[in-house]
Amino acid sequence: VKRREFILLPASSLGGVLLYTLAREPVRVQAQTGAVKVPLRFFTAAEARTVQAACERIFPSDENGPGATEAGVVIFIDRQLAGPYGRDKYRYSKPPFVDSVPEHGYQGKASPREIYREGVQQLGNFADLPPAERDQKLRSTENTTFFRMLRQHTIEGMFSDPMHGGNAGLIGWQLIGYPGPLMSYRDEIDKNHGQPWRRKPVSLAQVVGHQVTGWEEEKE
Amino acid sequence: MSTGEGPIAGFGAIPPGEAKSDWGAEWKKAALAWHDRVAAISSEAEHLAYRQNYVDLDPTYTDKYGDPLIRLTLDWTEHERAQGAMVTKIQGQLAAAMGGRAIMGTAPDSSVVNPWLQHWHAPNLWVVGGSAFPQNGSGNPTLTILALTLRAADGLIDRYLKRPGGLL
Repeated sequence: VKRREFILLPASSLGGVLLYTLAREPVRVQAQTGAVKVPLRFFTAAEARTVQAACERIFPSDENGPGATEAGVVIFIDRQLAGPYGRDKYRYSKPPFVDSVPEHGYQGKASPREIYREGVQQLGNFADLPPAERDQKLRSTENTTFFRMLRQHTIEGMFSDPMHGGNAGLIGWQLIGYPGPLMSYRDEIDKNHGQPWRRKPVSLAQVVGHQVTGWEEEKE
Repeated sequence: MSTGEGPIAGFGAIPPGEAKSDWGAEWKKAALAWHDRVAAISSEAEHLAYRQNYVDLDPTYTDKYGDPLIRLTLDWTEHERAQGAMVTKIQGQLAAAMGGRAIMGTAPDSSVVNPWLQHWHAPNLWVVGGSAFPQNGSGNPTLTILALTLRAADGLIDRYLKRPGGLL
């Protein structure tokens, strides 16, 4: 049995927000708790640390708002890799593998899990480098399959429904003013007539009124 | 204007030159600023029924039962390329003509036409179409354009023709 690995996230970054990532249950994380231990499904603790540091350079937390760490992007990626996506359950992956034009997309043999394992290893001691050197290192890998994937997954982890482990506390949706999967503003129109108004975002679970799970939870 | 693609697919598109790469602080700043200010126009064209475009059984790849996959063979010809070039040109014209060219509003200092789609300063000029919308939502606006046009026609026939001049 594989020893359980965890990633420690500073609670100040997740402070007071709902974290939907612990054991499939929403947990309110308080800033006072210091750090929160999130069990990992695919990454080792060291890998998760590297991935988190890289995501943070792709979508940093800065004066323009929170970033990948606050949103829990690494948890989103960890879950996707542990699930059917990570092992290419639904991608046609029989040989022979042939190179093709870019518009055909990735045609290779390696699964997302394998691409990450290899890519993270290549990053080495990334998480211990100063920010400028981290950027330099990422820039040198910019055109690799691994980096393109990491960039795409960072955006997905920022802005997908929190049921998938990222977008903690709807932080990504608040950042871009996305209202969530609402069907209509009908109930609000008369209340706010003539006033500038933006709805507080809601998750799918909040809209439907019960817990929802993503396809990454699918059993083998 | 949003691309109407939702928060993931719609994120990260920025005009050329706004950031040096497509990740990092500079890109994030531009992507957030442009998030609901970018739009895409796309078109669908057709491949004619050429003899060289066909489906057959793949000689190499099989499904999980060992049966051949379907293989699609499709080659672009000069016709499709010319079609693409023409559509791109038309898209540019569409972009210039769509939403926001003669916006409808409640006052002449902030809009071009009044709610009857009548020009504020030239009462004998009526502008119907999507140009009346200050911006376009993601939904299809055709029925709304038709409804506004019917209303403009009512105003023109029932009010303007009886007493020419600004209706408001």
